[in-house]
Amino acid sequence: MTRRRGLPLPIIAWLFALVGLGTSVMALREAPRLDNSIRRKRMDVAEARRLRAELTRLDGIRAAWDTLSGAPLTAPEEIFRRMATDLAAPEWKEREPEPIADGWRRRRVEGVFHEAPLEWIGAFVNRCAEARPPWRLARIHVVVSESSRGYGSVTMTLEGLEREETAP
Amino acid sequence: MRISTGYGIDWREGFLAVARYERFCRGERTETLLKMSSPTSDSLATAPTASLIREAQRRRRALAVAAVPCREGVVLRLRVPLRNRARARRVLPSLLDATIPFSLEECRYVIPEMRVSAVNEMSVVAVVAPRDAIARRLEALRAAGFDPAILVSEGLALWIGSLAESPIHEEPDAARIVLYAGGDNWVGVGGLETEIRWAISAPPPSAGVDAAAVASACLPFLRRWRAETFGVAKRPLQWHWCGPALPPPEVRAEAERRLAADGHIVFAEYPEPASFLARSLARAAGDAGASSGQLRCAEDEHPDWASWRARSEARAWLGLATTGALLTAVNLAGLAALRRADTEAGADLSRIAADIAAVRRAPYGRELVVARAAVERRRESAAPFARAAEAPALHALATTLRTAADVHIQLHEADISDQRLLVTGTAARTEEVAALEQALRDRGWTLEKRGGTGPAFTMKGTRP
Repeated sequence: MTRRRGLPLPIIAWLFALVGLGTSVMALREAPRLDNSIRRKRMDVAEARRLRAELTRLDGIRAAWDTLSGAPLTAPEEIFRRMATDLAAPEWKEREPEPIADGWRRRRVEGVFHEAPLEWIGAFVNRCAEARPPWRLARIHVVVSESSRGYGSVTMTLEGLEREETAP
Repeated sequence: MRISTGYGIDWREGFLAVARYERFCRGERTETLLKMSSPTSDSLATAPTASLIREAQRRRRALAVAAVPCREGVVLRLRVPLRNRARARRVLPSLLDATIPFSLEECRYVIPEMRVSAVNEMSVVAVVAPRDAIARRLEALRAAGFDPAILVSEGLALWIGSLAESPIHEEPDAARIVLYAGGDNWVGVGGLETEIRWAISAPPPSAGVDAAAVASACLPFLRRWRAETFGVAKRPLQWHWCGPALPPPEVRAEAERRLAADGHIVFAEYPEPASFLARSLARAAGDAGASSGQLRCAEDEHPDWASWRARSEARAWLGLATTGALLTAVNLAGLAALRRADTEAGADLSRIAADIAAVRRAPYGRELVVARAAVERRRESAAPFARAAEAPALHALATTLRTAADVHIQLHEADISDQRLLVTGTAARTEEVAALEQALRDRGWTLEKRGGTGPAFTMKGTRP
């Protein structure tokens, strides 16, 4: 009687033990694969986050230009005039504007100063960079005058972006 | 919470003692319930303890244990020259048959202890008792109103009780004799450290005891101890008195002086010595190890013993089942957690990639490819704007003019674009040129070449 009542318990115990053993084997086989997969995906997530940060940075740069709301570039001659100097007016030569993305275009102007104080040239380039939209100095070639110290002839190239429809 | 309860019944001619052992989650308790001299069948029948035991047995709540007298059996330690337990068990009957004074076929024997003691040797404790002696003892107990579930050897019970009440394990090479003084006979159990070596019985001293008779009654035990432990025991012999028929203290003191005359013996008496055996038997009921010396035949198995064994077996199976269940739960939970983490990482990747590529859902397995392509497209379209926001030529010009003025360098020419730089000039000292170099390097320029003769210098540089 007792034996008949107690019979299922060993079977149940062995079943539980076998299931435990089976799941252990399964876990031993599955865990390394899943672990590798998780590690790889987490590395990919980190890379994707880095890409998103870069995208945000690029969007920020683009947004900064969009806030200029289509104002045209101030001509370098105008900036020179506003600085009210008694220097001889430089020679300005503008190249053909180059269209870039989304209705924007790049303007490029080359200026030649025959004899100008170098300190003044630095101030002029800074004033061009502070204009809205700004001009940027793409290239400058200074040859210091031998006769008078602090003077030199300067050739500079300025670049600027503006919206095509706002162009004069 | 109480885990187990056991009753020990020390019933012999002219004496009855009953003790109870209870084991709790935290600790254990042994107490004497009854001591009765010259019990009659009437007094036994009306004793509250007997009904207590019967009630506990009826509810299958406790095991009752009684002893098979030592004179009815043999307790001995054997050395089997084998290390394999199964083989040792196979050869043991032959060894016992040659050692015991009975025919083994008519006996029941149990092996309460079997362990490897030395290289290729096994130390075995065997308890042997004739079947008819066991049956007689059981009948006598039943006639007195007791039906013990377990019958154990008196000698083994005394030794286990002695170790429980005064542990010996911290004293290496300690030898001990436990002397149980019963009214009908005296029992002596001897051992070295925790190992029982022998258990023998001897007649009690004759009536009208004096010290000489007591010492004389003790001599068989002392002789056996000397024979068994000659050259082994290096410490004083511990002699523990117990039993209901202990001689008066003054007689015992004189007998102890006589016994100690030819050897160093330390005498002691257990508290409540009369019920010592009953307590030891009760402890055997509560301890699976102690009850491993069960002598009651399988054909006449007590239901309490059967249910106790069934419970023990069930506990063992439940342990296995619990281990299996826990293992399953831990493994499945661990795998589920890993799978969840994997899915979450995949979902994160897919969400970020879709966010970057501005699509509803990035294709599985190609999330990073899609994201990289989207960022590359954006990089290309934003490149003119990014370039327009930078002014490396302006900074290089400002740095060159300022540093040249600070360190008194005479500039001759400067040709600076976004990525290339050429500066020529004259400096009085090389440190001044080094200062200009350092200032341009701080602006991110890599200066490729520096040369010139005398104080004149030419500096070329690039930047990415």
